[in-house]
Amino acid sequence: MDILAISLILFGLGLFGALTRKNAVAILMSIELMLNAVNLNFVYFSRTLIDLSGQIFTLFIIAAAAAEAAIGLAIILNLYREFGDIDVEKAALLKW
Amino acid sequence: MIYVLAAILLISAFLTVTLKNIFHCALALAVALLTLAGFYFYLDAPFVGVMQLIIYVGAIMILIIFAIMLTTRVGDRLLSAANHQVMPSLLAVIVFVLFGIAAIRKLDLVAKAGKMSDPIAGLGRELLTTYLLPFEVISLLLLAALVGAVVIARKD
Amino acid sequence: MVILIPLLPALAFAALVFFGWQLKERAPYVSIAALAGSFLLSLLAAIEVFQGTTIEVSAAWLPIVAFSFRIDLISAWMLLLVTGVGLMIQIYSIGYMKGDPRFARFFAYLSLFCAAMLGVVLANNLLLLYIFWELVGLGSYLLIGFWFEKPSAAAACKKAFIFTRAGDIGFFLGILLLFLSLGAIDFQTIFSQAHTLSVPLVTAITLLIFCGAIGKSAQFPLHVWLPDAMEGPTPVSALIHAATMVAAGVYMVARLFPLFELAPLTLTIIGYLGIGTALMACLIAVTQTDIKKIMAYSTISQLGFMMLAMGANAPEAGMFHLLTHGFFKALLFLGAGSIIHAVHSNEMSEMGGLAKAMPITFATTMIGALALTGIPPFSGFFSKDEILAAAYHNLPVAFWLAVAAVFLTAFYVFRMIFKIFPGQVKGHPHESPRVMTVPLIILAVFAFGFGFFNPFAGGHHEEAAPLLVFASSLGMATLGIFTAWLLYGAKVVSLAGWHNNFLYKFVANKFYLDEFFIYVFGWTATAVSQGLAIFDQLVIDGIVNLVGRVGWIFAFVNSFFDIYIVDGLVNLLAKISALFGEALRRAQTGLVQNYLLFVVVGIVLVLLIRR
Repeated sequence: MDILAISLILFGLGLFGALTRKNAVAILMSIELMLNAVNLNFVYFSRTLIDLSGQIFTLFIIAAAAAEAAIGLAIILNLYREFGDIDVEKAALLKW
Repeated sequence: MIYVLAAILLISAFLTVTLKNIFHCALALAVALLTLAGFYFYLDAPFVGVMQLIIYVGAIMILIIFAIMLTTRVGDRLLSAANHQVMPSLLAVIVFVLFGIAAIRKLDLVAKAGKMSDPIAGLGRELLTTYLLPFEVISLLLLAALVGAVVIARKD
Repeated sequence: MVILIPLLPALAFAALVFFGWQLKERAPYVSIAALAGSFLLSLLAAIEVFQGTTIEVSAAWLPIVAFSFRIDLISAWMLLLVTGVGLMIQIYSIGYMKGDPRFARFFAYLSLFCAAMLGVVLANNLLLLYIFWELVGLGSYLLIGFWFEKPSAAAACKKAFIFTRAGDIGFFLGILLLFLSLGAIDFQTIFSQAHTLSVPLVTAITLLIFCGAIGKSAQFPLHVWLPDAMEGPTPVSALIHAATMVAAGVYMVARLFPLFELAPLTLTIIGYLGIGTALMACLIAVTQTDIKKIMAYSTISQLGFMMLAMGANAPEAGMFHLLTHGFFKALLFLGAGSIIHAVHSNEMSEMGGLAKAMPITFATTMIGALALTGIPPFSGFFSKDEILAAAYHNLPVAFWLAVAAVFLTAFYVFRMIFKIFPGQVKGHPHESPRVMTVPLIILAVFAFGFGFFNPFAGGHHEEAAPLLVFASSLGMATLGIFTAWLLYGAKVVSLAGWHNNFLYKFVANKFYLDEFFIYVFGWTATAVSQGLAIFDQLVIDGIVNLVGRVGWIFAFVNSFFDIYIVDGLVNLLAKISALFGEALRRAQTGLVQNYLLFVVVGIVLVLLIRR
């Protein structure tokens, strides 16, 4: 039970970071935190219910996170090239 | 023991999302990820723990450090850590977490007795039988992400 | 196996579109191999069908629409015609299109066209038929506009597309109406249940469906696209005229004949429209000087004959004529293409004495012309005779009109023959390469001999042709040839003054139908848009101007007080809307994190409400 709460708080911290950080790399890191919070949940349930599926999901999430980090790095590089900075507030082209 | 780990985890996670210097953030994240690996070992998931070490602490951290080094010049002004929506975000996240904790308290979860027998061998079997298709698909996803990252990051 | 028949050319199309630029000169082998495969499969299927069976395959697709194909006697023959003639034309195109920069692309389009047409032939329900029907339209658009650098070709392909679409709208409405009243679109259900519908309803449905045939088979008044379609490469014209496109309309009526049979009024309209089209096209053909244009009008008139057969309750005769016409018209077209290839012109005035220079082309074209004229024992005679016999029994007035059309047909064909083949050689024409002459010879064999066995003989409409029919058609044909010889071969009568004749001009300008369409539809569209423009100026601008002017005058005449009221009101409205806009604009910050915050707050709110 406590581990569920820990992972929930971890998720909240990650969400907070994703909402407030200006640095794009920091946002990427916050998202990794959120993913990890989910992983922790999965592993906890896997242990509690004696069911391997939770761990398998975790492995898939880790793989997907690796892909996401690679793409994220590429996007951040492009952002840097385009704006000379990785402040996401500058990338506000959606606003007309 | 587990509460020490939890404290380290939450503190380093907190530092990750609040520290001003992005390098320090990355270090704090590395600590958080390491601690999580500890959690996995504690929870009888040694393979996942090892994967956490190799992929997260190893590969993804390196990627992030690369991203920092490629985009931050020494002597650059430090980006102020947070934008203008700290208070509303904090409020929203706290309410969200409170709801979550309320939900967890209501949860009626009974741990099953016993332990998993040889989880690593079981994982291997499951991955190559029941989850064979997702397993292949995720490898395809990784390949696509690899190629995609190269294409996106390439200078035209 | 049946599904492969249209699939093979479709695959060839895909292959050539993607890899054609690599294959270059070898591209035709792909499409020809695919079509040859379809031909062999069709042959196998046809042999099975000739033994009295009917092949049906079907795969579930949508809830009410099965992906179903059916081969019966009619479609088996159509399959053979489409694949056979298509094959000849593709082989011929290797020679004709040599050196074209989009060589491979041409064969890709030909394959698509053949695939679509095979789909039309095989389809066993109306929706499927309609889908392939539109694909045929697309193929014709691409092929007619193949040399799109020429403005005339670009215009012609648009014209073909728009005019056939105009008919297709009716076709689609007919399908919808039929579906609404029967709840089924596969042919067998329609045929078994159609008799439960009231006669006026069936008449409306069949008339709407026939609109599609009017467009595709170039019947009056939508026939004007067909002569312009000559802007495409000649093999394309041959394909459109002989085996695909225009045959689709006739074939569709024949396939749906059990439905049309229930609406006698529709049949009568079809019959008279057909013979009217035939007569009109014959008359225009007499005045043309471009050999491809003559061929085009000849096709329109022959299609009119086929429609007459449908109207005269003899679909078998119409299909028989469709088959024989497919062979001899493909032959005539490829012959014309061969001549054009040698002379580099479409105009008859620049041809002459070609009989000596191009003996094979001359001989084969002659066979085609005799078949078209309907001289026994060439194939055209047999099929035309059956149509005339049916018309004699069922539509007597149309029969006499048809006899007149036979005379005109013979006249214009031999006018062309006498103008281009005998006499002195102009320029230095030479015989075409073997890849072009061999298909000519093969087609000539069919154009000559195909009439001897009627594949649909023994049908229930079979009635003995009276001697009168035989005598009048043969007599008129001979008379036509003789007249042509008098005027153009022997030049007994001078025609110098004729070209200024009012009637001649009227006919030579195709009855001013193109101009009619341009004036009526073009003028209507212009008038409507001008009317709308005036409406814009008068009403919309007028209202604004009126408000402004009234406010100005009032303010000027009365006092500043008025200005404050009027302007203030307008400004207030503007300010209110600007205020709203400004307030709403703030929600759109453009910052991703801001949007994300809204999402999270939204989730929290949902949790709060659901608590």
